[in-house]
Amino acid sequence: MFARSPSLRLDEALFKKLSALQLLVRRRFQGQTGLWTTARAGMSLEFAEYREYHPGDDFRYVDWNLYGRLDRLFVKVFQREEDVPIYLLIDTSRSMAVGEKLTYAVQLAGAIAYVGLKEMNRVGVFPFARDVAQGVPPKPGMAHLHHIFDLLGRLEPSGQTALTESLERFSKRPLRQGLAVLLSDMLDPQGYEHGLFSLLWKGLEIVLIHILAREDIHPPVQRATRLCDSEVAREFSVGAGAVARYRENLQRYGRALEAFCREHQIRYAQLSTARSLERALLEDLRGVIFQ
Amino acid sequence: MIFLNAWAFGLLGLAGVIATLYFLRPREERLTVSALWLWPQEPEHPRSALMFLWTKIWLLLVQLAALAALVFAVAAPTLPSAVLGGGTLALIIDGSASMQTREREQTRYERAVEIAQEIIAQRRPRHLTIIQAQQSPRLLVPWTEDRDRAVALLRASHPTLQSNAPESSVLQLVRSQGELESYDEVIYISDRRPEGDVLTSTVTWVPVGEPRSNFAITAFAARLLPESAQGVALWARVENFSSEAVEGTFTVFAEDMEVARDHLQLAPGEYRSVETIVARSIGGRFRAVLDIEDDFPFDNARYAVMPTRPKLRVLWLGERNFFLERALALFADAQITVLSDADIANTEDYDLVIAHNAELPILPTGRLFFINSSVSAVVRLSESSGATGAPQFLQPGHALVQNLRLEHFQASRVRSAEFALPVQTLLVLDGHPILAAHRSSSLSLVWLGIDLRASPLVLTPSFPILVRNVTRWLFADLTLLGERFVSEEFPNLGFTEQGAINLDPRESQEIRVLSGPSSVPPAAGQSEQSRHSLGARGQSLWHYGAWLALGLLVLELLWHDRRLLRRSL
Repeated sequence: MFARSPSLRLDEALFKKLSALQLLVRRRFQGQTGLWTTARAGMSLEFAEYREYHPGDDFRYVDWNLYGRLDRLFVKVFQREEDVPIYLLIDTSRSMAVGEKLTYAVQLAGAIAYVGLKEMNRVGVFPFARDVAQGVPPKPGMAHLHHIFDLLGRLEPSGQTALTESLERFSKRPLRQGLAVLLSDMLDPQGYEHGLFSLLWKGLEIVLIHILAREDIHPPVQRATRLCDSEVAREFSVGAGAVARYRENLQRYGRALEAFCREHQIRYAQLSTARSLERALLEDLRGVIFQ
Repeated sequence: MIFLNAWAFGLLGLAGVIATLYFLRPREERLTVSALWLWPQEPEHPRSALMFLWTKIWLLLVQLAALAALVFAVAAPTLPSAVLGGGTLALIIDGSASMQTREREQTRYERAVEIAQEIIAQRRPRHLTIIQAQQSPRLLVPWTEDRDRAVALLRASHPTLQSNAPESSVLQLVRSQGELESYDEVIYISDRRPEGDVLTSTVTWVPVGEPRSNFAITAFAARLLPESAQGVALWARVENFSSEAVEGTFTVFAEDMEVARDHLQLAPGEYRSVETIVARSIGGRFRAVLDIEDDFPFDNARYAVMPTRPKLRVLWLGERNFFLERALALFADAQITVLSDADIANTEDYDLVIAHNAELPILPTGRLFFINSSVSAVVRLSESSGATGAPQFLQPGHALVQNLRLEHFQASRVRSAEFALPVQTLLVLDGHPILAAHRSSSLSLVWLGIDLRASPLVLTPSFPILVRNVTRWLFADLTLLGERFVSEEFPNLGFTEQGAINLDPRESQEIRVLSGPSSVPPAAGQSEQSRHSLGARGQSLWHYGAWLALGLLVLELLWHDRRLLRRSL
């Protein structure tokens, strides 16, 4: 089932290793039944703590024994296990075709979706370029993995990147608070700040997986070369000497992105397509999206 | 400089293809990048149009230069020996009789010598050899560096009256000075095209001579008529090798006395046979003369001698033998005297002593032919024993065994012989001598160890041949007369003590040469003929072009991938 699509080269052995992983969610969200524990007061199966009574609290949870000893009203707070919606946002712009970044992103998304669904969470997938596609809405259950993989297997690079527009439009959708996992090369000359801000303001916890191809990091330019942009109809010639300046620009851009993420508590990881998928999942993304 | 493969210049047409491909090729590699806006756009540097043109097309120029160098190499450029001088040259000059044909102010041979001098002056060979080619070829100038001496020897040479040279003899002489492959040029100056596969394919033929008029006696023979006629038949063949009708007087002389005369008129290419009969008593030497002016007079006279049979006084010892007597009578008028074995004290009155199945007490002097006979203390014979092997010649080249067939000497029994004289054993059977010879100042002996009564030898053709060989060997000074082989060296035509000497009739035909006027051939490598027959003579330059082309291609390759260039530097 998992190897049905050529872009989803996830084998059984990798899935076994993924079974041992758990998603890392730092904030507590209001959700439905799941394996996540939140501290929101209300109905639960397990006692968590006491809280001072506020007007409007349900009298059924007032601890009258404690009132007798302390002469103050406290209510019992129970832990309630809740699910976390996970929104996988996959950049499908044409720049993702360079160096098979989209394939890499699709495989990463498949693995994350599997881990998320295994933990009884709702997982949805939303491809985007200039706009966000309908995608697969978040649903729980391993049966939902089939729909996710079906969509991932059909993704094709098209369109121009517009992070601001697409992420803002996504944030305007009726979304529950949850985890937004953004898989993109983040190469948008218009910037990424507004788009990410819109997700933050929506109350989403963001994980940004910055994917770069080997060709992006080490472009194969050894002599006079005509460069063509992958997304817009623009081209010009450069010599071999331009590579150093390009790499300098790219590193500066990456450092700025990382600093922005750190500043706004966005978990950030940069991956190269040269990195094996297994090592990326089991090593590089630990502490970023996996515990 | 000449080019052996001039067709290669047609390959220069590929320059158009190369130029087209060059201008059609993508100027730069195209690369699609994720974010062009991260790349610095370099400003175009202003530069002159000429500089721009040069930087754009210099690789094309390198490719065109490589093509030109390749074409140069394939065209096989050669500096001919004539330009360089040096090299090795073998000159073969026809010295046969036809080269004595007079044309205008000089003979063909003199013209050939002139051409040879011109060739030597033009080629300036470092080494040369000159061979005069006729029936018996002669090395005029051995392998030498001294061109002046070679020319002097050449000018001092004269043609012969011999016939044309066989290929094998000429090649043998040429190879005696060096292998054929070691000569840069082998030039054959002759009025006839050289014959034979090797000569045809190896040498450059320089024709000399023009068609001249020739009226020739190509055959003349004298035959004794049957005794009843008491006469001699003379037969001659007269031919007209000219391109015009010729007429003249044909006269036959016997011992300087005119015995026949005829007026002949022959059309071009026509021949006529002339016969006449003269009395036997008129003499034995005949001469046929054609009284006509033509350009080759050497075949206007031919000579014939009646074969004569010497008269021999023969002392016969032992048994008479019919076959031996008949065989002897074929070559001589033998007057045989038969004596007993004991009465042989005085043999000086006899020309030949024949002993057949005799046992002599002493050895006579003079010329002896012993057949199965012994001489006390000189030639001892053992008892006969059975023979199982095959006879074998020990000296196949000896005159006594010429034209004999070995199988005719096969015998069932043989007697071993021991000689007190030093003898040459010529033929053996089972290790026993059956033919031996001894010659000293006072004694010539031929010994045949075969009993003629018990051997089939007398019934075979080898027996009269053996008797003739024995007679010739014993009487070397009494040569049997007849027409002599024309191939032998002789200074003049006519009668000699050995017989009559005539010109080879093939020489008469060659007064008609088949080619145009003679000229000095172009230096090797300049003519089509030499291209095919001699290959590239002189200094070949193709490798310069090949190396240059290779270097240019390597340069272009390295420039194409500059990492390689930097690594190689």
